[in-house]
Amino acid sequence: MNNRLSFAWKFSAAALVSYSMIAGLVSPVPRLFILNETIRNLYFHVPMWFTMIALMAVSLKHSLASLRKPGLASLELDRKAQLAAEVALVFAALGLFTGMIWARFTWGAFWTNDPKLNGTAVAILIYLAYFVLRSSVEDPEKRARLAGTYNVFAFVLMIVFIGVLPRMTDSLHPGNGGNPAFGSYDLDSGMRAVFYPAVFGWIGIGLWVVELRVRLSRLTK
Amino acid sequence: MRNRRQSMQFIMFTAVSTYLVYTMVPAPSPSVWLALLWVVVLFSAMQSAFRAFHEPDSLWAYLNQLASPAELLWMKSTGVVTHTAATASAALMLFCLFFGLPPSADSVNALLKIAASILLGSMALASTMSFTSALASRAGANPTLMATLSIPLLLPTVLVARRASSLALANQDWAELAMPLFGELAMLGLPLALGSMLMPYLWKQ
Repeated sequence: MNNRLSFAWKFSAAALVSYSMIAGLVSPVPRLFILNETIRNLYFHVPMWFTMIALMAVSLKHSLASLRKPGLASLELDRKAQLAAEVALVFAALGLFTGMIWARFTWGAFWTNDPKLNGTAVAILIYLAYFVLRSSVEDPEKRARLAGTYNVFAFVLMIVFIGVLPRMTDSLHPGNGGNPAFGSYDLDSGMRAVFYPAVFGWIGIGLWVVELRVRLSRLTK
Repeated sequence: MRNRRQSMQFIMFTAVSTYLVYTMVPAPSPSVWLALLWVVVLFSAMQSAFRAFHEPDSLWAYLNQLASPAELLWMKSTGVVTHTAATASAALMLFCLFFGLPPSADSVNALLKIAASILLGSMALASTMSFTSALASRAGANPTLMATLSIPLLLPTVLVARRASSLALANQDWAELAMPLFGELAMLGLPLALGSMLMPYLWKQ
């Protein structure tokens, strides 16, 4: 039963991502000034952020569990938290890359002083600091405890930063600082039919990669 | 006695840094004025936070018998926040003395707004750094590690504080300033609340 369920969600994730990739390139999109065909990047850029946040939440969950459990169980959960954070960073890099290309074509520069971009930079720096902390502690139990507390502390501040602060300041991104959100004007029902499957598909792929990395780490140990 | 000596050291550090900045940039624009002030405050706060948790093991063993981990964090954070507020006030006074206030903020009302935004912002920076300093002290009291852990977490506070102090410098109404000041207050309370919950796990032997 468990195997069948596991196969079902992985197959669904792969199918949703395949569908969103094909539909994302060929389905009709609204004709909008400046955005033009680059609006298709919505299907590739935004799901990366959703996946990053989902995987960071998974990492947080394992860190919280690791702090509560003693001994070997704590170490195993800490390892899972680390691997989820590593995969989240890969998605952050992909989100950044797709966003920079989009920004170049619509805003004229790869990087602007935008609250959302600053939020991304902070998220990446926080998790790089998390890995620096891990590498500076030799004792595994102490490492699990320190990394777990930092992960919880950092995640909450990061969510405040990327979720709350951009709404208080001006931003070039849709839905912030007085700009209309994609949802209110530009994201028509045809786009929603591609966008939401892309989000769920990529989150599934992210979780699958984390699971594979956990299994691989068990084997290499 | 030890506290008074430390306070004097921080104020000296602030004075020397401000004078150094003055010799390098004698007539800064308002935005550079503000940026330089925040740089001086940030580094003073970092020094203060690092020293707060850099104590000998024997003292920690004694303190651990007297107070719970959360109480220790509150005690140390209060010290760091107070020190940082004092050094930020000193930095603001020295900046007014050396550079003068930018023309847009040359009134008592504007000075009050700037002081409120700088003080709240510096206290918010100190509260985040108190927890990262505790963490770094557990990981071997390495100042580089403390800076590495703190700086990404400080960016939200720095950006909120910059916004508040920019509005204050432009002498905007208090109503306009209320939201960023509230943001600074939230960034002061949130790390303390989170730190209190996490400290028992962090401080476990």
